[in-house]
Amino acid sequence: MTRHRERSDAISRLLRDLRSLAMTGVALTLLASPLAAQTIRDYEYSRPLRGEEQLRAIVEFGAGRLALRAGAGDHLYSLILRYDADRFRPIGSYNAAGAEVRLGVEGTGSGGIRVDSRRALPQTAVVELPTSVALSLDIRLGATESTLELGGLRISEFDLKTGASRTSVTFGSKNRESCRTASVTSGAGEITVMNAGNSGCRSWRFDGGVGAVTIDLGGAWPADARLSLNMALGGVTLQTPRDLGLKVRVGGFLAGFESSGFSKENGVYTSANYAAAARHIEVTVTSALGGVKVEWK
Amino acid sequence: MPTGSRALALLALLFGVPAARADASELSRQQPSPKAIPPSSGADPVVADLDRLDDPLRLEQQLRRLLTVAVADLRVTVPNGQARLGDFSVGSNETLAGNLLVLSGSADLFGKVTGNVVTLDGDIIMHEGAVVSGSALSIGGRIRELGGIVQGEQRALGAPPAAETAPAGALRLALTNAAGLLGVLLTLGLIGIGFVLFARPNLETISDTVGHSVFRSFLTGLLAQVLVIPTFGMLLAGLVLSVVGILLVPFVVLVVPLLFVAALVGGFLGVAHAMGETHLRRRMAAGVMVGSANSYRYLGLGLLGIGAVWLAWIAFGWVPVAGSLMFGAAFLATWLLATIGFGACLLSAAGIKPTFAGRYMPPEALTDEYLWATPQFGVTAMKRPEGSGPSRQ
Repeated sequence: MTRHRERSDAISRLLRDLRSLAMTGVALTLLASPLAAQTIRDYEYSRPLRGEEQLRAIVEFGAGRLALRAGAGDHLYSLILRYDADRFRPIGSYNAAGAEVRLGVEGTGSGGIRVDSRRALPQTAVVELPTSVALSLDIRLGATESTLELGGLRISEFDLKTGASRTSVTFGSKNRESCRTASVTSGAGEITVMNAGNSGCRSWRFDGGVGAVTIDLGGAWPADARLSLNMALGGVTLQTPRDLGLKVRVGGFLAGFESSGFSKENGVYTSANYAAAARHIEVTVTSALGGVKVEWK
Repeated sequence: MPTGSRALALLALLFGVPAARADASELSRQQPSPKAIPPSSGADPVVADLDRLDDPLRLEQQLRRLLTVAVADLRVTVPNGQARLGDFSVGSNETLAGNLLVLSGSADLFGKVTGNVVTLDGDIIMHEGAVVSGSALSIGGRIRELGGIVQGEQRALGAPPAAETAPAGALRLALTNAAGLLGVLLTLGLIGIGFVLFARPNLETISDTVGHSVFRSFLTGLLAQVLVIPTFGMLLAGLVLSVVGILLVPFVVLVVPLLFVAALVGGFLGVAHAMGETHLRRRMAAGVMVGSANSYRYLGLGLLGIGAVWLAWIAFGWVPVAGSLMFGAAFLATWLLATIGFGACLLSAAGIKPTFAGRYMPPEALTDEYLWATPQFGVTAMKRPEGSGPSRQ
């Protein structure tokens, strides 16, 4: 009986000590948290429009949230950035001779072991580009959540490379520039392209890793176009208007294609409305284990 | 000095010194009286090049270094321009040729500047009619457009975060690391309570093995660390090659790492137990009243002892080089203890076999004095010989 009481006393003493330690730990954590949030820093960078006619815009953003859209029209480019000053540094340089601007953030390379959580740091960037200048867009994203509203911009070339990101690309209105090519390389993320027809790009190329790609083929296609999908493991969904004719070639190891509504001839799937359609899209799918699905809308 | 006072003094040193340094930093940001900064001369002049503003962070570092000297000693050469300290204004009828640098103040522009304008810890205010032919960069401030025009680029780098200054950064780092250590100790403490409640004999056997066979435990732990991955690989390969064993592969992949972690944690707690027990018994032997001595207390003391190894790193980890050395030393000490514990856990077969726990003693060692001072499990208490004690009659 005495031994049992001694054990109970020892446990209660230990629990009392642990409670004090836990309260101290909570206090230390609360003290540390607001200090950690102070590493966010602001950076703004812009240049007034002075009659430039073309611009190559390279946007690099390693982590955080990015919004890219058309600006008010008085700036050649504009960047409003909130960045983690411990791990990143802002990028902002303009080469007048080459008509090229670099915007975004790059890592400082100061890694090391961190005990505290960095998930809550709200690193954000807003990039605005002019509607009056022919743009060659080169966008490189890391672990980001990005919204690219490209409607209203004059895009002559479009190149997007994403890592483990969630990216939404929207062509809200018709591109007034003649777009040569559009290329999208996606790693392990999720990417959605809305109203691809408004881009006016006659040739689209998607290189996908393991993520999901959704392409809305709506919008005003200026001419027939080609779509090349090279997927490793990811799935592609083509959301297709009913007035668009599709011809799909599928190749690759264990590539899947949901062919309902298509007729097959010589290894080529052709949609039933192909002959009557005003615009035609030729889709070439090369995939290892990925699948392609067509959703008519 | 009493223990409490020593602790207070240490706290004052830890938190007071950074606070005092923070005050000094604030002093350097106070608004100085406006004046022109003379150009730097001598063999190694201080130059602030404002022609290229592509790297505002580097320029900021350079300019902040300038402000670390006394105002009277402040010198800087601005190629094709001039430098000012404190608020500065360009009148509506004035044209300032070249670049303009304003430190610790704002640039109120009503007239024209033909070069670039840079302010540190101040705004660039573009009033109606003001024109900057070059670019504008405000570090620690912003560009306020009130009708003026910047013909080149506009850049505004916000005020540096408080955490960027060294003392606040050190304090934050120390607090964060202390919270991390506390969390680890609490977790190990809670696991230890579970061990004592449900597997005390095993924990005591591991602890005794650590206490009695330290070097043997270390060698066993070291060898096991070297062999654990090849053994795991061979086990998997064997299962795969046996075809039937393929079904067991997912089970092995899941269970073996868990067993490894359990052995590591159990061994580490055994080491903590042994450390606490040794410390407490020494105090008891010295005649100190220590209250009840039990496994909970041994574990708590041992974990605090292991935690103490990291205290130096927590307090001074921010110091360049020395901080890394402290981390390395604490890591090495912890690894040594973990290796000894892991080895003891293996030697004692998870605390089941007390072969190396020093519990088997030659019969001649079991003297009356020994048995009286050291209770032994499984050893029958000896009867006092007839007539050796006082008679009850």
